[in-house]
Amino acid sequence: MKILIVEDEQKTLRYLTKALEENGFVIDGVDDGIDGLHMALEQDYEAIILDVMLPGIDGYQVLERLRKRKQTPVLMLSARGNVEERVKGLQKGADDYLPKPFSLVELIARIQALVRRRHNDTRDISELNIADLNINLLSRKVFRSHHRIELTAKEYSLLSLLARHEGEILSKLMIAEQVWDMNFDSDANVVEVAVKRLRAKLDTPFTTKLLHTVRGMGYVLEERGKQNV
Amino acid sequence: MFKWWKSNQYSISARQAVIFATAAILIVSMYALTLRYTLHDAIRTQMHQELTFREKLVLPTIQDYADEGRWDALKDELERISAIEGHRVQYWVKPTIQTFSEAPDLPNNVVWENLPIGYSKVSVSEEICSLYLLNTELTLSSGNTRLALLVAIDSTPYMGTFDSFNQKMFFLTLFGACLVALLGYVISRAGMKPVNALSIQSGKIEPGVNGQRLDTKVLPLELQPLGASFNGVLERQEVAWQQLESFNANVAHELKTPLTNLIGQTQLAISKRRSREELEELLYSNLEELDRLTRIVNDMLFLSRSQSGQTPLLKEPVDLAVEANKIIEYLEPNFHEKALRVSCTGSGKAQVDRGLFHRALGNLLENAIQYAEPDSTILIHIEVNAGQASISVTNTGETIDDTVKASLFDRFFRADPSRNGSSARHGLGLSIVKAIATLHGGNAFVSTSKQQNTFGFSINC
Repeated sequence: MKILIVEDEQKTLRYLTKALEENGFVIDGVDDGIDGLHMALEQDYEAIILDVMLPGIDGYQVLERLRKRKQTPVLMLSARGNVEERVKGLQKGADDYLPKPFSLVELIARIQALVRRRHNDTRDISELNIADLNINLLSRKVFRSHHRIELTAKEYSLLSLLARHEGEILSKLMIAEQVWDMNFDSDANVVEVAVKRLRAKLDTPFTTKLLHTVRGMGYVLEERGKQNV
Repeated sequence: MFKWWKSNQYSISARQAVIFATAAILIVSMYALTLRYTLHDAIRTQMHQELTFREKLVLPTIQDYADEGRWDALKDELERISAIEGHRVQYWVKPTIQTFSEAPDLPNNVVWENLPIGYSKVSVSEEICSLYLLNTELTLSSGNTRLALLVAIDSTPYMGTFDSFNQKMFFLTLFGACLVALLGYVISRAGMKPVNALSIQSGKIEPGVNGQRLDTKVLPLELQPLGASFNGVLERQEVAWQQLESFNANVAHELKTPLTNLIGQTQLAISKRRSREELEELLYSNLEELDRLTRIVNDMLFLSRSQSGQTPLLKEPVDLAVEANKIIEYLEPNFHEKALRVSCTGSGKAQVDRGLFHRALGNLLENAIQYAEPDSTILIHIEVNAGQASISVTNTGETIDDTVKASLFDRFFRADPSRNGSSARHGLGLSIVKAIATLHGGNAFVSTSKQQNTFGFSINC
């Protein structure tokens, strides 16, 4: 899982590299457009994170020249977050566009989505299994250690969202957008409350906890015990 | 010429000169034409009188000769009389029944038979002016012999006078018009002088200095309204300028609080050896502050983009009540926390950007929750009226003072300045509601009654 980051701001490059490495990616980082384009053409990456403002040649030009030969998924980063820039990026062949300032959680989620899309991971699945948790997506029934867990509609959407993104941190805003169809930043702690309720039904009766809070970032559904052992 | 006329860059003086000249030409031409007609009329009357006089003069002679049947002698005699006046007046006679042995020697163009009885006028040729003619029939006293008499007067001397009059009139008119145009230009320039004075005065106004106004007292009466409205513009600009300045100050202030926290707690953390937990705690706290900064920056960008029209709307037909219920569900824990009840009445459909609608109504509800009395009811009302949908949120709480009502939708305005805690929303919520309403062709509004505050916005369906 190799990813190329083209970003001239050293601090950004450093923490993005570290974050993605910790999420299991192998990272090549370069800080100008010419090297970036060269690397992108020479090697096969799962995805490329490309800053718009770069020394040498800018991100749009890198993208344009890359697209003539390769279809590697590209996520563009830009401090210019206005719509025209976004449209320009997408028209030139970017697969996603993230305006600065962005949250790390969101960046990682989007990269994972890009990689997944590339591997055509959208095949229909009817069942999700995480540890002893079993979610039947067709009958919308949830079991843990063969015990049926009764969930409300919202709790079910929340759980299936987290389960589909097993091991990925989902921010409150992303969850609100997916489950409640709300995309505005708010003090609303509906996500918190819903997670709390879900946890009470899902985790409290069992010794292995699956639903974890990553403070300041979001929530993740995964089995943690194994990794630590 | 027309281009120049229609463009806005014409000189007022030049334009006035042209208008004056046109008016002068019109008036003088009218006079000249009237005079010309009167003169012409006078000449004709004069000619007719002369003709009658000549006729009377020669009548006895004709009687005498005709009685005696001396036709040739009569012809000679008439020729003689004509010669006395240099052939200016000519006479011809013929009997009405039998003709003379030879036809009378009439000028070209004159056909006796066609002439009416009485006065007439015939143009003989190009050079010679018109002949005035008097055609009469006489019955001789002696018998039944009837004669026709034709008297003609050449009008050349009169017409000469008339032509020279016309010529003079024409040049006088032209000269007069030019003079009026010139004078008009000079007068207009003189009249425009106060405008120059006004422009010099306004040229002295410097940017950024408050309280500068034009001195309207020294202006002429006509320019005083202009001066006053110019001063009005200055005043409004000044208010806008001050708003902008206080807005900048507000932004800086709003950013200062999280920045102070960030710097302070980070410095504190690294001033001593800290445990891992303490450092983690610091990072979480920093993250919260940074989130807050991001939110302020994003909201500010949203406002600035919506104002410059850079926010594209993804409009779709939306059932407003359905969306309102989604938001109520989304904010449910917040209502629960203060033991608030929600009631949503009315319904309606409109073309809106769903995301922005959520944001606007969400902001209003958060605002209502913040200021509502615990254990009260928040009312949401949706109404569609004459192409405008309006959504209002009413909460029970301390009545908003009338004096602050106008500022409620201003950026960073807070009714209660002390509510500035780290967790409280920054004061952009309501101005975002207003911006979203404006993007949808509507407006934001607020109304209060006893213990009831209603905030809302309208959108064009």
